[in-house]
Amino acid sequence: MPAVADDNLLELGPVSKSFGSTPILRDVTLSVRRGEFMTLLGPSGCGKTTTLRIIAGFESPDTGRVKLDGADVTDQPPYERDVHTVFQHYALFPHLDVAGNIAFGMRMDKVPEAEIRRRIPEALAMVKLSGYETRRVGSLSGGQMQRVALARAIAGRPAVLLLDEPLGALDLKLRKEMQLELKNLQKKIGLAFVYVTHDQEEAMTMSDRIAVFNGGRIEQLGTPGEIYESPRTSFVADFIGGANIFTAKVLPGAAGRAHLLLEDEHELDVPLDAHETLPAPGRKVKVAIRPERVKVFYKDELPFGALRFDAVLQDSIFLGDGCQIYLRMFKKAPERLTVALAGGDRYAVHDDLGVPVIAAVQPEDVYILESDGD
Amino acid sequence: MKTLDRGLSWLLAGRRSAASHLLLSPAAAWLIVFLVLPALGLVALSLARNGAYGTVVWSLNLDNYQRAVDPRYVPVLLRTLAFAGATTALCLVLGYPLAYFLSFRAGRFRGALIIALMVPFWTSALVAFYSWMVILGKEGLLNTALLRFGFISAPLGILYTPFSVLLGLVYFYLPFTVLPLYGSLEKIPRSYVEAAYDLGAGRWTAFLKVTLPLSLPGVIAGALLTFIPCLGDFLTAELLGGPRYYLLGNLISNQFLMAQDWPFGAALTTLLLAGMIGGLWAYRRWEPDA
Amino acid sequence: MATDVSRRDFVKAALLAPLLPSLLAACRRADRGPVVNFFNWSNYIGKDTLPNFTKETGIAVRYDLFADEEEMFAKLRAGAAGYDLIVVGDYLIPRFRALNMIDPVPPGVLKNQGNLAPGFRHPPYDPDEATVPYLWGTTGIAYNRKTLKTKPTSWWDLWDPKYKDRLSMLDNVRDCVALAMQLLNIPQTTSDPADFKKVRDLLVRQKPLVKMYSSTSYLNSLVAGEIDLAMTWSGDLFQAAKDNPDLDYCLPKEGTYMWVDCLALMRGSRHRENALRLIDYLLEPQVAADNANYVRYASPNAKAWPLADPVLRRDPRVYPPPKRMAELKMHHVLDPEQTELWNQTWADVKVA
Repeated sequence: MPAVADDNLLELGPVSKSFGSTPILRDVTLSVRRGEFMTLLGPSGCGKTTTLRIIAGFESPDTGRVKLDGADVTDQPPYERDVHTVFQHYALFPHLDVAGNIAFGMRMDKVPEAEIRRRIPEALAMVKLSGYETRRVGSLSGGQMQRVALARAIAGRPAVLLLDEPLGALDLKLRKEMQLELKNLQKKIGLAFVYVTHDQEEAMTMSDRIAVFNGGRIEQLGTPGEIYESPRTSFVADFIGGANIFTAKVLPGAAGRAHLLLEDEHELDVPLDAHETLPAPGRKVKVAIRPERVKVFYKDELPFGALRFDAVLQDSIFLGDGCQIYLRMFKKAPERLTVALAGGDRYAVHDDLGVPVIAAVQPEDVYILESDGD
Repeated sequence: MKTLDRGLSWLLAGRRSAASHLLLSPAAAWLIVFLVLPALGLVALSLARNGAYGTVVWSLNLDNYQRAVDPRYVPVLLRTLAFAGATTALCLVLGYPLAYFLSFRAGRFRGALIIALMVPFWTSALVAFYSWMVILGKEGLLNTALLRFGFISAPLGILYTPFSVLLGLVYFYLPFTVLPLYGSLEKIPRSYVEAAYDLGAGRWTAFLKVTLPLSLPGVIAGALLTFIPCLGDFLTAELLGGPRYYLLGNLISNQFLMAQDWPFGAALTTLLLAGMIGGLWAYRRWEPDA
Repeated sequence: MATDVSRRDFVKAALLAPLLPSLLAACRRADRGPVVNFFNWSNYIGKDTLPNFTKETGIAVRYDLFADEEEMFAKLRAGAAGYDLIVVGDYLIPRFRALNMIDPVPPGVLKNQGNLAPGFRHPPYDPDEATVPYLWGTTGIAYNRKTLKTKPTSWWDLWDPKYKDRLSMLDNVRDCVALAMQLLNIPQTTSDPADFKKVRDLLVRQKPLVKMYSSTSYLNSLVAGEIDLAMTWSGDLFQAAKDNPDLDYCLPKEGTYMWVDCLALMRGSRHRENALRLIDYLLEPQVAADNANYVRYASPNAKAWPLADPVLRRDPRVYPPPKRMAELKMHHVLDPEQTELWNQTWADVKVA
């Protein structure tokens, strides 16, 4: 099923929800297209799981509606909604075997037994567990349980599949494998996924679009590239990929460009992106610089057009596939600049701490962030 | 169920290195002093003969067992099985919703409710049953209230009927049913029920297909913990039952307290215990997860 | 002869519960001075008798109750120790002596033993006076004058189907088996299993009519009007009649048994002197009279008779006239084999 723009399968919002006097969600609006892999990303307690549970029907929103395929399902109990969930700890029924688990939803939907018998091996083949029909749930490994949970959820052919941190309990290697497998499966069957995770790398790898949650709100919604390349808020910039975030004062400047003064008296002149807006001169603004976009030099050999920061090498951490170094910038310290160096570049750095260096950043790699309202 | 299970497997497995268990475990020492030795004493007593004025003449003969299998005791046995079975069934029917409520719905009142459920344990059974007599008697609270409000025109004979015996047994053994049930319901992750809803099961179907089967160990433990002590109960029938509802427990207690025939009482007790252990053993053999 | 935990006692106990700490303190205090441990039927002693004894002698009485004498026997045999003085029914005395559970009262020690009526000296169940008679009574039929159309006259009334579920029998092997034997004209000397089968059949035949076998709680049911007819011990019924004046007592025309409860010294007692002083005290005429007046049984103490409540003294149901007195039978002293046959017969009736 090809993804058609504006063909929204699931629409949500604006949804608010409180538990007691604690607000959990504030005006969350979200739409998921057919065949889309939508990830709800955020730290724990940000509201992403509650959003998923509202879609599934386990929680009802205080305000706002949930629409599935054009129909309002807000008041429908979970068992009447055409969505299935892969639970965080799988929630496989221990008293049933693998086939019994997979058949459960289809039996509830009154799918004919012959059809069920046909679909079970099909679903198992999809998750690469052919022949596991009669295995007891308790005898499966974590990865296998995960696959059975997935097979159980897709066998009933729901309109939307909800996944609540499904890989959270697996070890790193298995998780990486499963990420790819899950993405391929999703593409193959063309089913819309709503995927909850706190792992930004996972979100980047798998998603068509990501909704970044923070404090019960969606801070930014977009493709992984958009979110990475154009973070709108300091939270998004920091949570996705990490960022050096500085506060700057806006100085008068040319149209389409931002003339900024950092707190340590560095002056920047950077171009504005289409979506970036700048407050009036004299106001403060936050800017972000990705650690991997910073180059480090020892001599005055600055690339053309780059912004220059004089600094001292303060610390370095070896990360295997690269390293991360921390620079203390000259002038009015203590601003710190984190720099990520990939594989070969690592050897360009002397291990001697305290050595003066020059950090270079291309002006277009400085992101102007939306003010947080403070 | 866990403790019961462990105790049972210890008792019944045998194949494991029983000797090391015996020597090492303080629990085993406890079992030996308070369970095995008395049981052996009981068996020894059952092989003795009854001497003058109820003295015990130690010997080795099976006369007591021969007497115990006399057909005249069959009605008592059947009556006891019927009462124990009915009590267990009623306790399950009443106790399951109660345990379910405690586990799924009681919320912050759960602690208080569980304590309330335990209160009968802290009351002497004697006091409890005398209270029931005060309630159920011809001039008791129940009859007085029913008469006063005009529901009946003559007092009901409730006390000393099978009904009052059943009531007493259910009253006394209900916590024995509810607590294991509650324990097993409490252990069911809520996500299982949510998964069932999610896959299209309504509340009732989710209960039948998921909650009930998963609570089955608790159902069985609760049933055993009710049925088995019911078989040996004598106080309930003694106080709330008329003369026609004497149970095995009364037959046994009468041998000790009235007939002064301890060896015969011991033989009856040994047979009852053997029956209980045999039943448990059969159940373990049948249980798929054993 | 006793109301175990009657409704009244239950309420009383509930009211007294707050006093428990001070009672416990009293017990501890009693530990230090001279004591005697006394094991008696419940409701079988005057209200002031023991406190007066303590006041007079400084000997504290630790008092325990039982509600069934076979159960009492089983408890003592099972090793319940520490009692100095017990009350024991006449028929049990040979058994206690054969098992060496009691010591004879030494002759000549009790200065009040002479107060006993001659008929209670050297009785057949205890010819050498190892024990001392305490109170005596008869077994008869209690009935409710108001609810019963015709007054019962015969033991066979207890087998009358029209009283189904309106009657109770004593939960006591001696009285019930003896009654069946009397009605079947079987002598108590029998050891013939066939006789015991007949006894058993007769009692089992009655069972569908019987609301309860009880030596205690049936009195509550009588008072409450739940039953109209009961095999009873005389004094217990007279005590119950205080709560329900419609209750009356009859000695059936076939005749009945009298029995004597006796004071006996437990073997191994550590307070022998004190126990003997208590026996002697209970034999004092005024003490014996007050005691009997309270529990409404007859006293074997001839010196106490003139001091007794004249109403009781004149009541032929308590002190039968000499002619009826002569008709009262005493229980035969059973040998061990007979004892076992009696006990087993009764146990079988109970579970039938």
